Amino acid sequence: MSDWWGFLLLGLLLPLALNEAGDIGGWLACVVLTWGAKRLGAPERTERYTEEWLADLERVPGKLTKLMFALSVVTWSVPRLRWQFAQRRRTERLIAELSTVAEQSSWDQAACRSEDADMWFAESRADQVMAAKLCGQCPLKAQCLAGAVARREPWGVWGGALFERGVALEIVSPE
Amino acid sequence: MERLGRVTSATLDVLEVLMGPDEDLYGLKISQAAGRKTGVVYPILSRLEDAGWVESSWERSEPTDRGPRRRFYRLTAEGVPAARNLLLERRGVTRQRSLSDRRTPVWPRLGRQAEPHAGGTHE
Repeated sequence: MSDWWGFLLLGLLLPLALNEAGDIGGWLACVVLTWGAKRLGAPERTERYTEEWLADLERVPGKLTKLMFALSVVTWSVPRLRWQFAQRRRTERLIAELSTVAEQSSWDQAACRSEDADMWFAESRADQVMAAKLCGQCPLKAQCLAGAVARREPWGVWGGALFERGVALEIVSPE
Repeated sequence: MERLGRVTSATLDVLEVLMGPDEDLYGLKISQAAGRKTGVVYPILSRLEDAGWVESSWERSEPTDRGPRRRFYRLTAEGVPAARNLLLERRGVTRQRSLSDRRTPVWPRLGRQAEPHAGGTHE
């Protein structure tokens, strides 16, 4: 009688249980990988890595090996990728800050910085011409004019030109 | 293209695989061919891609195909000579040492490992 129970246990129930565990392994691997891809600290990359890892997972034979694959990715790839992406963001931020500083320091040399800035937004014709003439010696004149055209400046003297409603009406020559 | 910072031996293994003749290389396959843990390979590929050595693209699949697409990796036009130089510079020495260590040299190891895997993908 105990033989019969042994057969039932070893021959039927144990394989069934192992099979179930295996199926759960494959499912769990998907869950683990999807979870890992969300923890890269870079939401824009989550989709890519989820798809890439799940596609690779399909090529992993076996069910428990799938789980091993997922655990390997989560323990090794996720922290390193996370660190890489954070590092890259830090570098980008630094470059952006540096270029802002560089831009600001060059704009400090603009002619309109050393004079009364209101003159460049003056109503009187005489002031406008005076401002435009000062633009004539400005090292940033061309850059300033191009920027004003691109932004469609509504009003003021920019790069030696008088702007109104986004259009350069008149380029005042510095004589 | 940027210079790589610290280059680990795992990175060199990955580059050797990418220099190989195989075209459809995806993360899992690269890790198997390189004999490295799968988890180690994805960050290496990401770093190489970021530096412009490697480019990747989605597997072209039929619109009727279901399921996730693989991501294929290959060396860029600039990456090929850069990888060759780096491997020559670094592996020239390592390979001699690995032979005396009774470790199998790199290229036969690659060939041997790639074969059973190639069979496995057609299941």
